[in-house]
Amino acid sequence: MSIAFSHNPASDYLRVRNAVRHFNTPEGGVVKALDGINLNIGQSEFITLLGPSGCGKTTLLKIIAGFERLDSGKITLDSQTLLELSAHRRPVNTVFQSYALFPHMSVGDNVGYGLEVAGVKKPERVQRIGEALEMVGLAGIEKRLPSQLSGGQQQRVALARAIVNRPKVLLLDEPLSALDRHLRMKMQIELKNLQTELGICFLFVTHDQEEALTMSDRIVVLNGGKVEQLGTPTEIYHRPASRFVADFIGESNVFEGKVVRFDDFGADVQCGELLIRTEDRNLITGSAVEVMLRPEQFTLLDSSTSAAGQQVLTATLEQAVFVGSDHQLVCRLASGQQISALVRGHCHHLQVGQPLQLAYSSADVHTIPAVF
Amino acid sequence: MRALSRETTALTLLLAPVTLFLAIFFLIPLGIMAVYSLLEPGLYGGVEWSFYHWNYGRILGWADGFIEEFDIVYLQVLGRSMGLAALTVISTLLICFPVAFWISRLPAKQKNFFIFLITLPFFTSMIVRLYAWVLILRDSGFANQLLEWLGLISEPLDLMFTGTAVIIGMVYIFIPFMFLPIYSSIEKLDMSLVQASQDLGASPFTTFRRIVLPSVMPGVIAGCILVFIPSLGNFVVPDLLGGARVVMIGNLVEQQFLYARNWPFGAALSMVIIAVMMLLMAVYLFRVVKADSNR
Amino acid sequence: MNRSLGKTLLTGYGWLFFLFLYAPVALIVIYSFNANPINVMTWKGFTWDWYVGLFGGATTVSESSLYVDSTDQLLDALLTSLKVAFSATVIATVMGTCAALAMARYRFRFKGFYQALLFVPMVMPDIVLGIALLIFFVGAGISLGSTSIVIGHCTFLTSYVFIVVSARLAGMNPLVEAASADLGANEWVTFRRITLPLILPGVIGGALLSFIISMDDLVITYFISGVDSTTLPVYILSMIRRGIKPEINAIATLMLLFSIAIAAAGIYFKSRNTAQ
Repeated sequence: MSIAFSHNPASDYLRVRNAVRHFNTPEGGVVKALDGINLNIGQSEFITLLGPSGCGKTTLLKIIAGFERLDSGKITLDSQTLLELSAHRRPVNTVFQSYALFPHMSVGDNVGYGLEVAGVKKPERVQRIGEALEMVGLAGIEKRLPSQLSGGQQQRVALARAIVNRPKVLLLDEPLSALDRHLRMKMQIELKNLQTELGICFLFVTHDQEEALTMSDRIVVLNGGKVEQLGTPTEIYHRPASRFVADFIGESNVFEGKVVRFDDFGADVQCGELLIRTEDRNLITGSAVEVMLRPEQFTLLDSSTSAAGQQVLTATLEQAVFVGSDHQLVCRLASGQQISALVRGHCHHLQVGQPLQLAYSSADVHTIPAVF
Repeated sequence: MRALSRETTALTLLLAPVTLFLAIFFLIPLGIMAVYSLLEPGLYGGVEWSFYHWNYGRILGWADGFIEEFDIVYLQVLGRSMGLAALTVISTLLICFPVAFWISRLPAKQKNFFIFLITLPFFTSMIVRLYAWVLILRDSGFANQLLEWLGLISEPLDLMFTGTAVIIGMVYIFIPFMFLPIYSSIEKLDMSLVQASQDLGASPFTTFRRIVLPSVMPGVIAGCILVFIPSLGNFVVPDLLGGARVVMIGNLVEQQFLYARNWPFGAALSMVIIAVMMLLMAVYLFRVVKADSNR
Repeated sequence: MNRSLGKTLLTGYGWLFFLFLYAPVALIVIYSFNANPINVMTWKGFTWDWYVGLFGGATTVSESSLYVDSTDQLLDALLTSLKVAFSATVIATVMGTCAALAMARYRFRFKGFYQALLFVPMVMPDIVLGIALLIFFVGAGISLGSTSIVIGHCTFLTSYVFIVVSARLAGMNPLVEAASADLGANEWVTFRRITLPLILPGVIGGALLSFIISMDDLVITYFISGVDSTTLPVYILSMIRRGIKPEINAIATLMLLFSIAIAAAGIYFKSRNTAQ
């Protein structure tokens, strides 16, 4: 599949080459957890592995951590081959989804465990434990037991326990999924700040696209053991490389069609009865494409606004839902296809069954090569 | 690959002691016993190394062709053992079920205390607990004295050395085995289902039959098997409370080994106990475990 | 049916149940202080004599009515029991814990076989195991004595330890071991610093259970104990068979105290750990 080329010169710090891992299911089938993954990741990037459950993201993380083996392929970190090293020798640390704090040890002992095992002397250890806890905003709780902490605090201790060892890569396995929404959003910002401060590579696994868009320098979208797309959050959102990415990240309206005409400024795509104009200049007549428009890229036309320079769709309103600042409109086109539009402002005057004029800019229309 | 072989080494080291030990001191002895049950008893104890199926024939009552007449005495003992074990199972079940139900409805603190009280006997000496019933049931024992003092009887009753005495003894020592599985299955029972059933208009009896019983059945079956197996092969209880009058298969085995010195016959009797045990285990595995995994 | 009446009946039934469970044992304790040397169950005043007599002290009762042949025999049986229980517990605890670790932490073929192998000794009627071992020991030329009893006990004690430790392992987050490896600890350090401390309450519980069951085992020991290695339960059985005499009450009471003490220790360990 498509591999986005990064311009970051240091982006071969963590390299994954043709990683393959298949599992046999008890029923006799084969699950392709990783089906030829290639990744180049930079030294101080915040990378998110995003995908639905079963896409292979956690498997990849476990393989990098050393808890799972690879059928074939190669992984190097800082020019060092990782796969020959057992988990305890790898210069990476993990923040587990369930935190996996040692219940019989104090917070201080938990955080200092890696240092102690590595033979760091006590005075230095104590100092570094203190620093790490301070970084995660929990200074002075060394003596407490994990069971005496709240979920959010345990999460921070798990983070401190990992970063105190100054790993080359920090692996985070859905660490925020057990927190409530408010705390989760707070931690997203803190995690990003922490990563910037430490300047080390964070490899963050999540199935929450919002989380991925908020924090990441780049996102790896995985599906069925393959990389669907690797790119910055904006690229992923506005220029999805596949129908899967378009559907998985945010809401999208996708029309299947065929290029009927192209010129120096773009192309016309015939989607059933609908003719959609795009400014994509890489299309040639006759090729099958999928055309995507995000709901917020529509504007509602009424008598007072004109559609100058814009394309217009006519649809029938089926439902209008108030979602805070905006209204989400569910409409049906003459072809029968349902589309979704997110529009600002007052929509109280709208009535179900009423025809609407939805305008969009041809610059916003993104095309995806259709795969058959 | 290196990590894999290390794993194999660790696994081998962990399993080696228990494998060797149980192979030598559990599986091989059972195998030898099975072989013994098919050998001819020696004239003065010991065995002749020749195939001999009359050990089993004798249990079924057939004469071994030379000495004995057709005699079903061993079948009677087997039947009596089964009967007494079955009665023990029924008694423990009837005793434990209401109590388990009662305790499951109590507040957590009382619950834990009562569970502790029921498991405590499990930690106390079985012989001591049986001895208590010897003190109670014998002619000059507590029960007779109490009844006499109450004026209910003038002559001491024959309580010891009866089937009832044996059942009481077995019920007494096996109660925890019945109680705990039943209790844990009642605990797991979702009380909202019972309420839903009542809410939908079912009578208490229907609710019990259609809702309660199916979900506590695995625990009941497990408890029954856990009580039946040790009851069947028991020899201490009939020895102390049954005497010569209530002989069970366990006493027969003991006699063959320690007095009659007919080891092959004793081994054959043991094989019968094992066969019954395996049959019950198979029933349990197919009925309960399967039903559980289908849920 | 009247709801509160049903409840009262059930409660009454529950109390009767506990009376049935505890009254017989209480009788032993009470009558162990009965001064009547001939009819054990006819109360004739309070005495400590039977306890004093057990430990070889001078009693007011004539020597002939004292039933324990000699204090030495009783103490010998007790000593054998303790020795056997201790050795069997150590061996069974190591084997059972190793087996539990292997079953919980590794994937391998024959897992089902091991599951069955570790389950069957617990449900096997003890008389069957007893005679199988008797035939084996005699055939293999292993003389019957403390060693044969220890071996016999280990065959089923291992299963009890296995069950208890497995339960503990099942309640443990397996990721803490992965976390330890992730933080740079090798297998041995992980075992010593993480796994062992976390399963220790289970190991201790399993060991206590083993010790009690070994001390209490009658049937298997009965078949495989030699002439000069009698354990306490076997000795008591032979005492009861020869006739009821007051000392048995005293011995039985002491044994009850002993088992309750161990059970209390077990519960103490359990509660201390859950408090953590």
